[in-house]
Amino acid sequence: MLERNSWINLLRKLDWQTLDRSADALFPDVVSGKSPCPIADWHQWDEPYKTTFFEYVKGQHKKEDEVEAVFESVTRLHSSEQLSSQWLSAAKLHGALLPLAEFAAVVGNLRAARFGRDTAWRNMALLGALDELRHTQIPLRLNHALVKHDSQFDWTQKFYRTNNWIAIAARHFFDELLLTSNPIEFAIATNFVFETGFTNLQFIGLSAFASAVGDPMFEEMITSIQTDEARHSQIGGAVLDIVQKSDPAYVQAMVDKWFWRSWRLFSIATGFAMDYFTPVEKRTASFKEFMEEWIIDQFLSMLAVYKLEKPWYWNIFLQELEYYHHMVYASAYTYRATAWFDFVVPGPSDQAWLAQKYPESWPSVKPVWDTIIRTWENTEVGFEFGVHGSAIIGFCHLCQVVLCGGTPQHNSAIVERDGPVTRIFCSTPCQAIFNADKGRYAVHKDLVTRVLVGEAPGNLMAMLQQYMGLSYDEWGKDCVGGDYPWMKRRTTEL
Amino acid sequence: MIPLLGFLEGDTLGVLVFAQESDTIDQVGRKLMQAARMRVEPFARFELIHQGEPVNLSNTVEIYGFGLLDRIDVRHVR
Repeated sequence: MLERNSWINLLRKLDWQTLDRSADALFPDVVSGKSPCPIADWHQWDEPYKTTFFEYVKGQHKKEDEVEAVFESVTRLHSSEQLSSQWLSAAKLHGALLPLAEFAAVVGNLRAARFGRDTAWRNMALLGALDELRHTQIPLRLNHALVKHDSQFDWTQKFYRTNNWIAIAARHFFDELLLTSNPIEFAIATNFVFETGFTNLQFIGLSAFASAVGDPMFEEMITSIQTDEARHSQIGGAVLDIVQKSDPAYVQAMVDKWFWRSWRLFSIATGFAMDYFTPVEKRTASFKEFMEEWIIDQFLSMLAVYKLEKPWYWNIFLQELEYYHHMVYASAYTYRATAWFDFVVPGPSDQAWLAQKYPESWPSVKPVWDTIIRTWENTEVGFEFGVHGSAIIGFCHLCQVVLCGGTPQHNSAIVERDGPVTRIFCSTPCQAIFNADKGRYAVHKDLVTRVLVGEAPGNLMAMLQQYMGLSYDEWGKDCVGGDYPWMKRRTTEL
Repeated sequence: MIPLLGFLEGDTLGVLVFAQESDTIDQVGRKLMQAARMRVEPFARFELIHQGEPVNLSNTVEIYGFGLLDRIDVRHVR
């Protein structure tokens, strides 16, 4: 029997020899992405961690057994009922964002499995597609078991089929990242930036928090998913190696664009989970500290390996690390009914922790919470809409998120006139990304545009129920109905 | 009626303010403060900034002339 090392390279590089079709016909630029180099250069494509289909199936089978074991024990004990409602909000937020986005990644990987310009790349992309299919199925299955306890978990499957404002933003991001990108952009944007960079933060950092709060199901789910990410994310570096030699400017532009777009998503999904939804006594570190370790240290080291520069907006990103997710969270709290998960007001111990971890931003964010708390103290417990906004808020024409850039003293939103069209951006990076590829983005209507042209209602109730698809049971509330023991309430309960 | 994009000093996000042509600039500022009151207590005294300059609060929207979704900032005068 031949040793594995003797045949693995023959196997992974086994390819068709076509007699009557050119490489350009088999891999047209319009689908495969414009290649900066001849096809022969692509045959040097090399992934550090090599695997066969047999090895893949064996490894994945073992992982499925591990997930199944945790699932069986958790659903038997109904352990989700023992978790704090604020931690469950983290599970609901991630549960909705992940699965169908992972399915979009199946499509992106399958495009690379046919139109990637090297056979080893195509093989890895095919295994990547199988990974992403698994990442779709696991959260759908695990969270479906929880719907009978809590209907908000139904948004795991429902989310992307709604006009919820977070779904509009997530679809805008994931459709471009996963569904429409050619294999070269997919490899740089998804495998290199999103997976190698950000998902380490998500899955390793957040799994530690899940372990601390006693949520084995969430911990096992994201730990198991991350083991697959580590394998297929290597596609990014292998593609980057080749493109970088011929078109470094393109690589830099893609890294700059997708780092910013990914930052927007993760600052909300992971920032909320780490700094607000994890009970303060269980937080092992702040979101900023995780970002500093996994992004600023490790990702920058990776950029240096490929002779890439820090993105041009790096100073803006560093400021946002202090402010952005806090501003979005406080804003979203006052519009919590527009979400499908509940929110919590940071209490005295949370605020002391936030002040210590975010000394620059907390003094200007705290007054907002003081106002919210004072309003609750003058409002009956359970009267949610007594402490809720009703005015229409603005959204960015690129990222589709609420306008929370900059600081509470100076918001970084930009209003831009483009002939008869007015566009709003939350920040200069979003504006730059939009204007670099206007044709790609100009058609999309943000939520405010839809209201102004009559496609969406301007009334909050109609917006929640008719447009966003939220029922009373599902829409977000305060985790305890405003009944915090540390509040100095001036009214009696209902 | 014209929608404006309002930012109140100390607030965490931008809010739409629908200004009637007959509104004074003072009323526009107060509409923004009312819309943001869940997060920022209204100011007793304020200035409204448009295109980098404070606007006379006695003017009306019709006379002053805003563009669609122009940005306005309301700042506390202490």
